[in-house]
Amino acid sequence: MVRLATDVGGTFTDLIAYDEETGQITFAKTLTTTEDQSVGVLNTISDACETSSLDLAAVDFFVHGGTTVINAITEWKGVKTALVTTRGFRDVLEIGRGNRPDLYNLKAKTPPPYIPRRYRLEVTERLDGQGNIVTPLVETEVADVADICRDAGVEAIAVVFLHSYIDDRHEVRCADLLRSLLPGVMVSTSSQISQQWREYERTSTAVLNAYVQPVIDQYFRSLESRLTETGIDCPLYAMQSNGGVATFENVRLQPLTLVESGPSGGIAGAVRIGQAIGAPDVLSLDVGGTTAKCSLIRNGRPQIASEYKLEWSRFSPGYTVQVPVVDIVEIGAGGGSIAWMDEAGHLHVGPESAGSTPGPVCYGRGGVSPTITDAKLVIGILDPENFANGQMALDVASARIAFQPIANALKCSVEEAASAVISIAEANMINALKLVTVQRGHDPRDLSLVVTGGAGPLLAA
Amino acid sequence: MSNSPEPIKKVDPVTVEILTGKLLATVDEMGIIMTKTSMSPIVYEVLDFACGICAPNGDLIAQSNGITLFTGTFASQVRTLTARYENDIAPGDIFITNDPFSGGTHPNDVAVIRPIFFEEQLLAYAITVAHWLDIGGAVPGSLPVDATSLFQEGLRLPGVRIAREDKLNSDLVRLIEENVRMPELAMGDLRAQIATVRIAERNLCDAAEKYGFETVRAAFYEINESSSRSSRRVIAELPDGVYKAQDTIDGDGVTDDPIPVCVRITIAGDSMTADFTGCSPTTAGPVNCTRGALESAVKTVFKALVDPSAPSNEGWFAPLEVIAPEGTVFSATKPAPTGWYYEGSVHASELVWRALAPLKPEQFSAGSYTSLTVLYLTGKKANGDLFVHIAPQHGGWGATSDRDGANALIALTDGDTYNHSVELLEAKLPVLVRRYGFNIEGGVGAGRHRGGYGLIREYEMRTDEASFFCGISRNSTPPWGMEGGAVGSCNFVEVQTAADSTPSRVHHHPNWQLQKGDHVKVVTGGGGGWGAAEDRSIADIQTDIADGFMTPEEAFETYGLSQTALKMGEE
Repeated sequence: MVRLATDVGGTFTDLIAYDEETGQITFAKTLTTTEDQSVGVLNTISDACETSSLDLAAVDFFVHGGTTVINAITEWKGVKTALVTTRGFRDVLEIGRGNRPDLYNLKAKTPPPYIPRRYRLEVTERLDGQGNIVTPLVETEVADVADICRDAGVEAIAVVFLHSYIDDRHEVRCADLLRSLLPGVMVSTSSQISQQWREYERTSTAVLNAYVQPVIDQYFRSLESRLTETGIDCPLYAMQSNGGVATFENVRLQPLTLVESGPSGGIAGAVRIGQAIGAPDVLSLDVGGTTAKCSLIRNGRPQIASEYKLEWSRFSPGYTVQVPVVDIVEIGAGGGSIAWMDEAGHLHVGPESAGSTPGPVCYGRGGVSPTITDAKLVIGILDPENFANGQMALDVASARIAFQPIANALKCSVEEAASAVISIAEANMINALKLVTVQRGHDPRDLSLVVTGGAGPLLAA
Repeated sequence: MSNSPEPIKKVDPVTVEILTGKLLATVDEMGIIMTKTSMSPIVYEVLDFACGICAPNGDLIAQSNGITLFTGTFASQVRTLTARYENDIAPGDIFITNDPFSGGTHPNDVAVIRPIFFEEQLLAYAITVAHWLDIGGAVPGSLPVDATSLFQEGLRLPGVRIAREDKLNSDLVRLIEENVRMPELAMGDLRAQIATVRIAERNLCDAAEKYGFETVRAAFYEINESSSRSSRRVIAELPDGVYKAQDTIDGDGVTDDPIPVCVRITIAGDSMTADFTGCSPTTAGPVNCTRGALESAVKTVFKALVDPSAPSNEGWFAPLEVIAPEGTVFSATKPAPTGWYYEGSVHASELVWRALAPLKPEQFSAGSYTSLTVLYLTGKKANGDLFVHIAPQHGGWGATSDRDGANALIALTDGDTYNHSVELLEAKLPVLVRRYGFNIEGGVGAGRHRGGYGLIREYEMRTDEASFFCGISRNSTPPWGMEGGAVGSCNFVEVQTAADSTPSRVHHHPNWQLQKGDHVKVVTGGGGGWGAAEDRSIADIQTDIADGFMTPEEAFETYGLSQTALKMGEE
């Protein structure tokens, strides 16, 4: 019996097939197909079938992980969504917490909301902070809201009422009414995805869940039928952000739980490795093409946080979602992270990445900015002939040329410039590792380091 | 700004970059600890605090994202402390200071300072400033709106040692506990602050262990030298000359009399001098600030000019000199009240902003709502315990040359601070928030690009045992427009009691007793516009109408657009 797992990353799509009877492991790796990720998934499956005697009818477990949901959000590929909320609070989504992390930028703005004001609608209802009903739900107003949504061609609705984490009956009733009035519109409540307080964060969560729901629903339906066509006939699972798995059917209801699907897979793996080597306390470092993710595993269990901030940075508050996520510290340091000099002559690495397109200079796909991968090639760590199982030849000469400007600025050789870039990247990663350990009160010396990701071992060694 | 002496050792740029990363990670860590372990909602929910690392001479080396007005005082607070204690500073010491007259802001803002030693040598200082919910004084929350003396504003700790060899001085702790209204909160925040400076010590000592004491000190020097060079380069490129601005502070809490203020900025070569000579004298009421806060307020806008995105440190301010004769509203001395200092100091920032904006218009927006628009709600919970609720309000920022102003952002004085969640508030206090959304009815400054919207937060009282007080500026002088853009709108509080038929408007009020059913609305203003209103694109106007910001009738009044023209634009 064969277990299949795929991971759709920012740069590459990977597949592993594990034959439980023979112990045979088959790998396949292709470039991520950003337009429709399921194409890349099917590509890896057909590659695996070509290179090994993989019998798809023998597959009894399939799990899909990766960036599908997070990309749908960050690339604004969701649907026209409406918010129905307590009267007086339609602007909470846009106000956020009102903070200005970009402290000295007098032109800073909060990131734009996923629902414009015209589709943020209010109905009269109210619970108080103890869960008492102050004002019952006015159902005629729900019908008015349904009319507006119908006229506007809204495809998904999030219903968020204050204090629903104590008592969700108004949300449930409102959602039921909306579904009966608007068949074909996907209606969800905040209470079905979060039972946490803080109205902005819960509204943001419900809205993003609704925003991607039709798209993700369609993706998994389509993936399921493509997989079935190949002869795969078994339960199909998706990797959740909390390290567990859920059926395609369940994730179609709560797609937002897949927001950190990719990294949580790496951590689930690190947990298993920890168990296998008898180390219950593990520090997991997962380095891909764009980001490095660090996480702490204690007593064989990953730490779960109840909140996650998409696109958060030193300069932007990002968007908060209240889904259980493996507690990951993510930094913009991956194999494709670009090395650059600022105007003051300081050398930086990342957070911008060359991704898969154009990719590092040495991939020969049009990249001109030197990356960590290029640095590792220049100092001789990567073998230009044997990259990606020999599928890709790496161009050392062009990587060296890409480092020349930095070498000139630092008045050193190209090799020294590349080494400097690696030192800085490593220091950034160590800071990230410290954030999940020492900062949370744990001593990293008690931990085993488990490194995953395409660029992980490359940087950890 | 004083400079440290040039160290003997030179450090390679890669090591400097690595140490910079460690310093930033350290102050971030301090921030996270403060958020997770403090006890006052104003600290853990609103994030009213900031953390930093300073060199032994006080120069700021790294700061957390927090309140810009705090971080700009770190150098002067450390220098005042070291001048007072000279050679009497030892490993294991912890100092506490909340004194406006020792480089600080107002007594609620308590600084905890730790000298960091490595193998007996002084390496750095760690500092964390946090707003304590109550520090004693004449009213709960410690900030009487009509204070006329510093002695009404709470317990002042003028840079005193609270621990030796890491043991807290129990006499001093007891003194503090006895002189604040909520000692458990105060002690909780104090412990959180102490935890942050200890973490800083550990991290800095690890760095010294790994790279060497001299290398770390040399890196501090290089970090500031580098930003100093960059900063001077920017100033040198600006045309030499004199740049002036004037403005009005709307009342001091005792009277509504306008308080004129002005600045004269001189740029010569790579230096800039901001001279506040001629500002109104120290006022009777508590909108005065002291020199430390004034310098910090000017630094905020200076940094916005020279390099908004680089991490801040003292080097950026090397070209800057701030001059103010003693005894102005921005340079108060004892026994002036300074409780609402930030309503004064923000105007110092804005004067510099207005004077310099023409030099780099692409970096400066039109005027914003300015005031933190603070309203204190205080009273008794159901169980009889005192509650004090303070939260700064967010408001509209001015338009820029290329887009509309930001809606609902916190004022210049603060930074990475949050609003207070309504659900949290209602779970703990006998209030209901009836509305929290854009201040549509107050409007914004029209223009080719319009100002951003302020907010309305409306409280309904569910208890008879409560009152409020407030001290809000920009209540009559609206945010300025730029290049023909209209002015924005003002901040105020509106009270609708259950008894009266019409609401009352106030902006400064020392104590309004509230009844069950009373509604209190905190209203923040919209930002100023940029460019002439007749140049606003039809598409933008249509978006504003579709999103409910204005009616078609208002569009006609403001932009001169008829219904026909709007319809034509739609095609």
